[in-house]
Amino acid sequence: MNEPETIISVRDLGLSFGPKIIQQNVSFDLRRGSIFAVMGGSGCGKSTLLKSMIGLLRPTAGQILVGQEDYWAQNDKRRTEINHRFGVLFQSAALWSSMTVGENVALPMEMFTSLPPDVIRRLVELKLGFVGMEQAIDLMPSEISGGMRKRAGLARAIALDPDILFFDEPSAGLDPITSARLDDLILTCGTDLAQPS
Amino acid sequence: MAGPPQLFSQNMAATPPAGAGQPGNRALLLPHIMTDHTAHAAPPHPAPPAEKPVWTLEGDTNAPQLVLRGTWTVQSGGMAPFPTDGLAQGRDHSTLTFDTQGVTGWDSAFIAFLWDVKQAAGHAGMQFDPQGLPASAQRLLALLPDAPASGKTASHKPAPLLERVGDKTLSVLNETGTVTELALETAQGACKTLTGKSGMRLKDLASDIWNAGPSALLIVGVVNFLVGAILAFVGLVELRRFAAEIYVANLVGIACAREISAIMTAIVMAGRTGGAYAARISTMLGNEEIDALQVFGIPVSSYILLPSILSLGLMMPLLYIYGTIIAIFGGFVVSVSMMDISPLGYLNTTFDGIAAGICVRLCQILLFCQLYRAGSLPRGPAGRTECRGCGDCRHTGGGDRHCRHYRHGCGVCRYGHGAGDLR
Repeated sequence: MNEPETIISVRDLGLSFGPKIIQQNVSFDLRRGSIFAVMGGSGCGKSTLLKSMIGLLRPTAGQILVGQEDYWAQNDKRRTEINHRFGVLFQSAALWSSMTVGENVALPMEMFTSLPPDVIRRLVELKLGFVGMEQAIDLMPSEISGGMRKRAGLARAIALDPDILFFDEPSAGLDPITSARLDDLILTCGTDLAQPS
Repeated sequence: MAGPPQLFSQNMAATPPAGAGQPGNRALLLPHIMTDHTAHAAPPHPAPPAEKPVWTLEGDTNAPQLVLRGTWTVQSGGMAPFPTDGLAQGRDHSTLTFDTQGVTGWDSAFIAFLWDVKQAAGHAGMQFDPQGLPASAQRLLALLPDAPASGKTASHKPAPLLERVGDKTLSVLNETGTVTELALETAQGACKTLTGKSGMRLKDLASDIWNAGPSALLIVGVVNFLVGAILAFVGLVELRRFAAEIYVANLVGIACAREISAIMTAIVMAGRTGGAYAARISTMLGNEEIDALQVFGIPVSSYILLPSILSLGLMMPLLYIYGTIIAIFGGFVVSVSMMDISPLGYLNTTFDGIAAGICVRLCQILLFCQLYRAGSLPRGPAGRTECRGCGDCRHTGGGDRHCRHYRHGCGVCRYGHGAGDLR
């Protein structure tokens, strides 16, 4: 049986803040349809590694290959195009606080697609429905709980139907029950959304 | 099984609870985690004064023992450090033990002292045996590393002057580059706005305009009103000496329209709206919202900076005009109440004194057009306004029949005397 294709390869990656080395010689492959977890103690550089993989922090050494392309060797425009294959759920959900939950999910579609507003609205309802947040479409991020914010962040992350979903400590700050539900949701996203049949 | 948590601090009995210092005594809580339950259980009598913390090193060099007595709390002076060389006389590989039977209370100060002792024992090559310490103190001490982290603040030497100058220069250049890049991106976004391709949401622009404009009316109004009023009051007191009170109107009008209102409005807006923008962007940065924008490829300059800058650019001139009007009104209120001058006369003198700023002139024209159009000055049968005031118009040549302040044909008496009532 053939192995799924590799969609991201990290080769000898080094990360540092000034003279302080955070990571060095990090290498791994991510395959389509798989769930890959990076674990470690607090402050060991997990989020920093994630940031370098999604274009927020340039590594000091090594390569990140997305498909066959060296991500950090591309220009800004190309990196932005590659980023559209990514969906990211940040540790704090990072919902844009001046927008409603629905607007948060809709903004990437408005910016990067030419879909009419009514179609975008239906898609937003769909994405929020996936995460059980359809009733909160018109609420502001400050009006919902931490778990709901995470789910709304997940709905935004899958707004553009990305190939790869990144989660930065998705269950941080959540109670065990909410955390377990979010884990189920992530599993569903990883299996059913990534490989629709 | 151990009993319920016991409180062992200076607020409790002078003698330690039974079992203090024994490994089996499980809960000696620090005061900062004191529960209401234990606090309420304290006896109603005032607590005895705390004994001063005392330590002595006893035993011989082969088996030194540190004897601790008194109340080891921050409040009772228990934060005195243990000398680094306090155990220098002990032999290598000897074991340091403790006797804490005389300890009547303790908090973090006790642990800090023991940590010092532990480090001194390490320096002297001695074994540190914590068995004689209270069980809670043993557990807390076990959480601490053998030595404090070598903090930069403790032993940080300032970098050489040349290095500091170089660092500062690079930092300034870096910041200049960042600001320039942002400014260029914003300018680019502004150009794209003209073609509708900037990515800026009109909703954000409207929100920022509301925050920068109407929401700031109160503070801008209050500041400018006070500036105008103070200027008029001070000017009036001084100009009265020279019988030149009427020039207060010019003073307030010219000063506010040309300089002060613009500066005050700018300062208020920089503090209020600029501060709000900085706080919002900082909050977005802390909440990873900026990161989220960057990952999606949404330009921060177009999304955040452009609406803010455009809204300020649109609102500042309007706020300046509003501030000028309010400042003049402030001067007007003070002058009319302290001078023998009519309101319209004051306003007319004010606008006479203001050099031809287009906006101000426009407001003046609009204001007075509306005022007279509303019929506040009735017209005579010949269509000319006639005066019932002081009756000495210097323009009409009508001398005894017209007010001297009446301007022929313009319909305005600079002192605001009414028309239609011939003297």
